[in-house]
Amino acid sequence: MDMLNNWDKWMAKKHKKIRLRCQKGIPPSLRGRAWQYLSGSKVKLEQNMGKFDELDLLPGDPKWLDVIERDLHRQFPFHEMFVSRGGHGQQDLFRVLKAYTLYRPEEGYCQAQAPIAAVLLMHMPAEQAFWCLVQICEKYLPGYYSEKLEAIQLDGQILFSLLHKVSPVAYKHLSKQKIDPILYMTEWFMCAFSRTLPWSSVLRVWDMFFCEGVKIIFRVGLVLLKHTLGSSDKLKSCQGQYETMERLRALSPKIMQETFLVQEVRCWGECGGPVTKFTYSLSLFIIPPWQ
Amino acid sequence: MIRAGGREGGSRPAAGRAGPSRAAMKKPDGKVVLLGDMNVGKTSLLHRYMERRFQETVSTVGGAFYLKQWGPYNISIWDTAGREQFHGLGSMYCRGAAAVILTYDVNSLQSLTELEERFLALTDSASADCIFAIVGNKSVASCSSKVRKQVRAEDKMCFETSAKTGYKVDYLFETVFEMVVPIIVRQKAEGPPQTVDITDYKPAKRTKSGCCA
Repeated sequence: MDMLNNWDKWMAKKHKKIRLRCQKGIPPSLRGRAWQYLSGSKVKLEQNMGKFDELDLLPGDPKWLDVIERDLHRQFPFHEMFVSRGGHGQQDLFRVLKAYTLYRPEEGYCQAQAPIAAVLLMHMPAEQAFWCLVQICEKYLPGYYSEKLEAIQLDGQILFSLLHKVSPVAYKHLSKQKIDPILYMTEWFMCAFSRTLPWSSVLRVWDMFFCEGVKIIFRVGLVLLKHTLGSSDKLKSCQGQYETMERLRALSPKIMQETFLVQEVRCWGECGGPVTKFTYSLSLFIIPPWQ
Repeated sequence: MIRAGGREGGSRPAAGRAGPSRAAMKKPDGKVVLLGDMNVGKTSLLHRYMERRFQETVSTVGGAFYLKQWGPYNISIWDTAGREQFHGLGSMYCRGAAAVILTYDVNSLQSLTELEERFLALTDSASADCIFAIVGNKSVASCSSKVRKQVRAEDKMCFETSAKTGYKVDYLFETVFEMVVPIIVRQKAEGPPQTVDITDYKPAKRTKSGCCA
């Protein structure tokens, strides 16, 4: 609580402590607020008071409205908040996504934004969720939802290069089977694992993601790949392209389990694992095409 | 509810059998791709056929593929995202496809016109003798839809299905598979199709059979 009440002080002086807190999992009652602080969306909201209400009142481009409406009932269809057509959850989802198309008309709406916004709405009101979504789209995963999806393709290649270092066995296997990263990591990355992992793991990953950024997404992806395809023993039962894809679609619950997954992700962070260094060095010399 | 018109897999000797439980490697022999606008029910159709039930699905981000054993062959069925935005990622989806199932929603004329305007162009990389099936999903079996009249009735490869009730879903996939088999046979006879990367080719073979005197 003190962390949230004296945020600036904590961020300036004890960032490590905050990171540790996020790695241990943010208490559920504080999660929504903490995410807003961590992402900077709270500041963004304060700087843009009334902006969301303004966008909310605008009619919006019918082209985007139509697409958004056709997706509303297809986000967490079993979650009580989004289960009923036209219910509060779906209404708020519509407002947030519509507001974004007005805020960034050149980007519009991407289908992968809906699950992201839905997870946010489970933790905060629409206005706060909107600014949090803005931060994710602009600061955390820039270019992921742009029209041509170049950023996700590039990150797919980066993930694959990292895999080469982390698990040569898995890398070699995927290369041999000609399984392009796009085939398995698109949904993982674009939805920040919200549709892949069990719910408790999603929340823990998002806690770390909001604190440390996209490298968490990379690390989770690498942990999953390494523990699915990273030894000759594991590969015995998925020799072909189809078996491999199947294995990646239906990941073992054991490796997605909260404690195991977070432990693995944290360990790589502490060992100064390849992800930190490598993505950083890559980001230095690659000028992304969307900028 | 009666699954009207739906042939159960058992009607064909080897067809409906679930994949072998052996750890044997299953190599896809032929490829079938589902294309169509968003929210027409591509994922639901595939889910109904493969899992035998209807379930609320989430919007498809990226794509996925399933394998169906059909007689001695393994047919991979590819599910795709309907939004134009994802087409850039999907050039590999149609490559070498033996059949493309173009799906629309019978309640949306727009989704039918989209097939011609947007999706037909994506099938250029499919096999030269690729089979096209046009499927109107979300059909309510008893009533005729407005959109139906737009589809040429004489075309044999037009279907109306309902992933929700299962109406003609089996019939659709099995008809397509039947027609795909000759293509698979031909593709096999002609040797590795273009989808197989040339790095697979082992030069050693060439030297062996090199001297043909």
